[in-house]
Amino acid sequence: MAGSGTAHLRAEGDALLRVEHLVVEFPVGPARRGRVVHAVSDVSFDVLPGETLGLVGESGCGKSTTGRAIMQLPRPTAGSVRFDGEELTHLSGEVLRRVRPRMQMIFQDPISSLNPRRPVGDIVAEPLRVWGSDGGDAGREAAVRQVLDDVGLDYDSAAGRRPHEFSGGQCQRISIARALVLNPKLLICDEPVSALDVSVQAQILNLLEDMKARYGLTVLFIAHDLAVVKNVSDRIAVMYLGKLCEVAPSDELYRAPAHPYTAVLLASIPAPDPDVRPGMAGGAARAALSGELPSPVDPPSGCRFRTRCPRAEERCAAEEPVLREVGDDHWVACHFPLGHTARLAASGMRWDPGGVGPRRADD
Amino acid sequence: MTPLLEVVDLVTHFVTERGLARAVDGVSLTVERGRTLGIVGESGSGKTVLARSIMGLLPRAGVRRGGKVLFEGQDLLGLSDRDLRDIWGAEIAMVFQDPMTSLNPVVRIGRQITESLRHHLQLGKAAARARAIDLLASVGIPEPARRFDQYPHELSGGMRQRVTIAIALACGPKLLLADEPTTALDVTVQSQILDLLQAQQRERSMAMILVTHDLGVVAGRTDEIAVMYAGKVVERAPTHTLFTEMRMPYTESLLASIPRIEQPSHTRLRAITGRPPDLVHPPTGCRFAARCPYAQPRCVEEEPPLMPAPTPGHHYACWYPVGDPAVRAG
Repeated sequence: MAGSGTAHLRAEGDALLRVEHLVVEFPVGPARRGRVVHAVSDVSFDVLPGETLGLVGESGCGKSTTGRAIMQLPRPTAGSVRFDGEELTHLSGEVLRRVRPRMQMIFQDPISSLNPRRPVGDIVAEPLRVWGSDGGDAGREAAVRQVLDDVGLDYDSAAGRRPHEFSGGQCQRISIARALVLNPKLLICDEPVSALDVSVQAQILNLLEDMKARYGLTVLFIAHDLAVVKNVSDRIAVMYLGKLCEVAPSDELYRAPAHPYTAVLLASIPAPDPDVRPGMAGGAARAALSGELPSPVDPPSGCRFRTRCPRAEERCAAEEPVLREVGDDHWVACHFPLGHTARLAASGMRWDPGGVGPRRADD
Repeated sequence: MTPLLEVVDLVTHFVTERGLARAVDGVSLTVERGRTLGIVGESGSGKTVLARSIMGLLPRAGVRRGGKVLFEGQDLLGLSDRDLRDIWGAEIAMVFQDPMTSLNPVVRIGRQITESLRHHLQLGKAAARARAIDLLASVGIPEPARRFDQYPHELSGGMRQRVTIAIALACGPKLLLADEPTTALDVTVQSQILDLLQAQQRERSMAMILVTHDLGVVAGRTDEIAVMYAGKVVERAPTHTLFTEMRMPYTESLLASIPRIEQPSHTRLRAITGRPPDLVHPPTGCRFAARCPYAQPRCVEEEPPLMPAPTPGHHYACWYPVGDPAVRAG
């Protein structure tokens, strides 16, 4: 997996968010040894206006770090983050601050991401207060009333209460209201439903879809559950140990996973059907993943997935695979992708809409 | 032959400032030797309290209990803590949701396993160590002899849960209670842990109760399922029957709210509206009525009992069950 490369990016002017060669490293141990955790290593992707991009992978794959690096929390070690026409990595504190209302984030644990001492009305009004919105107190109250109503909460009964008086699902509604009150363009959702029961999860996923339509949002949806990600996403990027493995439209990724790791993720979803034996999700038997995630301090050479990959060969240790197209807008970073070998050989030259000109499909 | 576990009309009520919270309110179920029962429900349905009530893990103060928990014919509810201690680990063991809080962070992994081996089986130090290393290997921990001397924080979440399973299996219990054993884990690790539990359960012909909020987790891995709502079992059936002939609208809603990977993206999920009722003041009639898409006036007036369906072993609590055209039309 281990894929680097930018061939899968769409035309530059089209994207609301364009991340190129993003690198995030954290120092570990004594500074003189210079050891670092390679949390995100050369990741590139883009999100078009109105699109939902799902970013999926296991704990420790760097997906949350990627989300935070886009917000410049903290600033990435290297790479470019272009949002709404501006390069964020070079912006100074004050200029960056002015960009932030246009990009908002919601987090995994809805209860700990809300201040327990403050009433909900204040929590949701706070962004407006920080940004000195027009209309004074009355204008703010009207805006908060509207956004709470949009997320399915009643202002008169909710605004005066504190977060602990609400359930996990309701707290996530409050977090969404706080994120939407400034009318952002981009919403980054970091595991927004993984702390919730399936029944509440469905409510929140439906709510996010409704809010996306009502507020005209572009969404980066980060989660570990591929079934959840697929439900809300137009396009999915699969991450493993700081690298991208595969990028494809959601339905295509499910129909024809090309990366062995994507196949494992699909097979791991527990099917709510007693006739589907565990490990058979997606219609075909697939091997379960063995072993543990390697250390991001000392990642494997070549393809980072090779130590757990059933298809790994010598080439995978020697050479890092680069993202290449194996189907219509379907990109994979693997030397030996699943079920696409024949199609690749037959495709030969293909036109790259990214503007780099003709290019071999397998380069 | 008496069943391994028979729970009869079990009641667990908590005394709170607002009144009695009816967390478990008259639950009956049976688990035969070597069989697997799934208990499914939302947060607050009482499934965890039920598991802890069976195990006898709830405090004595502030808890009102009733009914019977018969383990091989012996009522555990009447036992003192001292007598229960001979049963915990040796006869009935438990695996909890969060392996980080169920393991002692300042005790080496090995000692956490040998503790029960030495207490229940009176093994010597060397024999207990050898048995513990075998156990670690059997739950899929690489380099078990090295892991024996490590602390919990040196292991990943999945490995920690394997350790808690090794501890639970150490004395060869006849019944394993697993309370949301994979909820804190990633999907790939979740399937590894569920496979491990299933393999160990079969190998040892141990009975298992798997408690979860996710019908997907129990679908392929249990013999029977009990669905709980607001402190009651509302449907109980052999697993295959439950999925093919479900009668309780709550079970149907729970299944419909799971996003399916085979559905096209942006498929609208059929979420259950609202929230479970307040267990201090549960509604009269069917407790699910307020959220039920099929509710009729009778549902709010009269509580449906658990009634038998045509298929043996299938019971449901609903006046207007799913898939009953005569009733629906009325």
